[in-house]
Amino acid sequence: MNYPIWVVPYLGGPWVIGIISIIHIFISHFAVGGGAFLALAEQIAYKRKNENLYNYLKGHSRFFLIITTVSGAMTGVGIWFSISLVSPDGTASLIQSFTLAWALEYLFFVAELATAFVYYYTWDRVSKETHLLLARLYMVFSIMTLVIINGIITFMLTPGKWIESHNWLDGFLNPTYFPGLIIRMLIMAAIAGMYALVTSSRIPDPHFRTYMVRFCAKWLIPIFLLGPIVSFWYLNQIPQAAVQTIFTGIQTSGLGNFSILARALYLSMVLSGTIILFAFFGPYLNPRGFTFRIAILFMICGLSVTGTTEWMRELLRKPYVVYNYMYSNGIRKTEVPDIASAGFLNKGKWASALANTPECKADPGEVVYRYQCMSCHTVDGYRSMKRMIGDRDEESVVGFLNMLKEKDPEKNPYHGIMPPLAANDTELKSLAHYLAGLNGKADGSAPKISHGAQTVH
Amino acid sequence: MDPSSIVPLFQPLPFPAPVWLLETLLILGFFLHALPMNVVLGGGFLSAALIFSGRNNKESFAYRAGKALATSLPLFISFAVTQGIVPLLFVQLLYGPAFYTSSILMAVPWISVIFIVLVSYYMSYVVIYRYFKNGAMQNTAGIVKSSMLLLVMSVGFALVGFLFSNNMTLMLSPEKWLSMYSHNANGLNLNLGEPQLIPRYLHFLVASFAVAGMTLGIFGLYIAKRDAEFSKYMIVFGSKLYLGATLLQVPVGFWYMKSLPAGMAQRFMGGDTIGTAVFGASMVFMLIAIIATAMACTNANKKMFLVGLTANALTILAMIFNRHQLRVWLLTHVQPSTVPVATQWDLLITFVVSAVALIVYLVWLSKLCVKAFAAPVQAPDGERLAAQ
Repeated sequence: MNYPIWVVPYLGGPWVIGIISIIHIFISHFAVGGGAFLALAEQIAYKRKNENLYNYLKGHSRFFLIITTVSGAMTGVGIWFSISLVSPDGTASLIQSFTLAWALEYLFFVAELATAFVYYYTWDRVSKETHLLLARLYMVFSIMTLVIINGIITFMLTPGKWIESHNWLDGFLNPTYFPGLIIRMLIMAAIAGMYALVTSSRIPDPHFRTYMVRFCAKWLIPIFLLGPIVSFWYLNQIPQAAVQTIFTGIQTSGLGNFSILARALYLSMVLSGTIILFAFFGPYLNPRGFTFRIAILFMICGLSVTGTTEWMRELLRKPYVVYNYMYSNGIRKTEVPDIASAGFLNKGKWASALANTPECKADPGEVVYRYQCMSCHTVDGYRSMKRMIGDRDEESVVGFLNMLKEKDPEKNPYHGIMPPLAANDTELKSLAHYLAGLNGKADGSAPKISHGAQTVH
Repeated sequence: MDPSSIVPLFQPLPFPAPVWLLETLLILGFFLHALPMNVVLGGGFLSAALIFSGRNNKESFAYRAGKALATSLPLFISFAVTQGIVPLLFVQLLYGPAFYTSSILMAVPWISVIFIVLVSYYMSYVVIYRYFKNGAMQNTAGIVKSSMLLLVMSVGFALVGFLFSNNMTLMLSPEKWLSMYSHNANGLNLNLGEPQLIPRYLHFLVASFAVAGMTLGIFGLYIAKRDAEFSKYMIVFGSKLYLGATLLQVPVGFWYMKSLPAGMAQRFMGGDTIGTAVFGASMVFMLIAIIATAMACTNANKKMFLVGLTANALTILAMIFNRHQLRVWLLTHVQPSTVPVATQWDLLITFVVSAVALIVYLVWLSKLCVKAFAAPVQAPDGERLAAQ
């Protein structure tokens, strides 16, 4: 309500973040895990004086350098661009609290990138010992970037004592900091192993290919065995209300959106199990028969686990952007009672300017929709309001919206899943009028309502 | 309407450090971003032109200089992107209410910056691995194609700069925001009606050619011992390019000054003490840079070139300071000084100590590189960096 809202038709703003984030997660985890892989593999090459392995690493490191420095870095900045467009209040809150942490992370980025370039360009130009040192330094710096950003990512789901103290360290070293860190390191190692399988499967020398494929399989199996144990620890640390929505959602609510959370959990568990069996019976027991195509299939499985798990983590945080502090629509939890009495359109800078400036000719119902619904819904695309409203007439929409104002979970089944509606009665009615009007069910008595919602009329 | 009613509020959370420190980091961060960014922008166009002009003779200085520049571009792009984090972070912190709003108003072109840089960045690698290292430069057609690719890449970067100029000027004009949003809420706006936009953009674009010239000169210094003739060519040609671009900057600079809102130019001409002093200093540095490079131009004098290089860097720093002042003067509705400060001493000290450690590490790394590249390659298939 403090900022204008970027209207993204059909897809919705959150998916803009989602698409960029998924790509970034695959690449950044590869960057960190790959650093560990390169360092370990180079150590083996050094100990065994294995020139084959050295040559393989040289080839792999070019692919690695280009992917991580170009796509990794750019999509990372892309997440930042997208969150500030879709969730400016949330982004500003994170920035105002953690600027210096980000600044510190930047220092490690510089060290990481500089090391990556020197590492890549000095193959055969420095002693083998120095080169191995560079590989290890790269690994350390890339892990350090994770050590820092993990504090901010986990903060959003479990801000812990920060809610009261507003002390950065309380928010940073929050309850899921350590389990989150370990899970991520496992995922990173797994993705690195899978990328390495892809490049290993293309080694021309059959003997050495077999050796490398087996090496990667050995790298992968323990990771997937450890995964479930750490995940259990992680789930124990997150707000239990959020955990409940995973499981109760599937039983009590017929709406697909909530049960998806449980489905995602099961899917990620099934996929992980598949990968362990796959890795054991495939590349480990039968490394000779391992081909490039199987490696790609393997990779798809691995990225699907990562994707579903990350998506689940995002869903767990609903309806908040910072748990118990700020809702996904940018309204702070503490502001809700005040808004409900004073009126939403009198509070925020942009919401009130849009609703109260005659030149904007905005429909107040649509303004409330933009600010309070559009952070998760679209008119006729993703989580379509037209579909959700269905055949409801204006009166039943009013009833539904009144339920969304209830703080008691008994009376409001959406409590803990959707933010409470922060609006006074008049605003609620105009929102209902707008929403019912989407399917042509608005009462004729109210002012004419636009159906587009793509621009303010 | 009163613009102040439309400028969003800061979050009700304190700043992590005093505003003067955050502003210093913003200015220094932008300086460290502007240097590699200019090398990429001007250097991209320059390498395309040099390679094209040397297309018939791969032994020509033009071709070799273009190749050296093109081969080094990914490194500079990487640093331009990484150094961009700092000013982006601090501009969001200090001027977020204006910056987030203008970004949302032009959300689509703004986010496309990411994709344009991504594509241009890959193109810089394509030129290296598909052309230079893949035998594709054996014939003139391959050479021409590679220079075209570099040109397309550079146009991408130039477009990114233009979009940045749009956002950086739009954030200063809250009076435009509401009507712009009412006109289009899908983030499809640009700030094309802004009188400052074109001269400001041109001012920065022309500057990038001056910096690209300086970069070529640095390459010349680097290989002075190995190939004196080629070194001389690069220093002289680089200096000439710097001089040409800087002379062109005189009318562009005047146009930019004239395009500023009423009273702003006067503040740099005596109206504001600090503003005038810094602006004056930038003019003095520029004069020194012009004289020194003009001398380097005639006989490839390395010392003179270094003086010009340093003076030019100082000119850029002074102008970046003036650019920041202009933002402060125009953004009267966003006052970072009104936000309470709760200095995060523990984190601040960690940051400063880490920054010092990073500098020490980078020095060590550079020494390692210099040593590595001075020695002959140990294996025939090793990669080579930039200037050779």
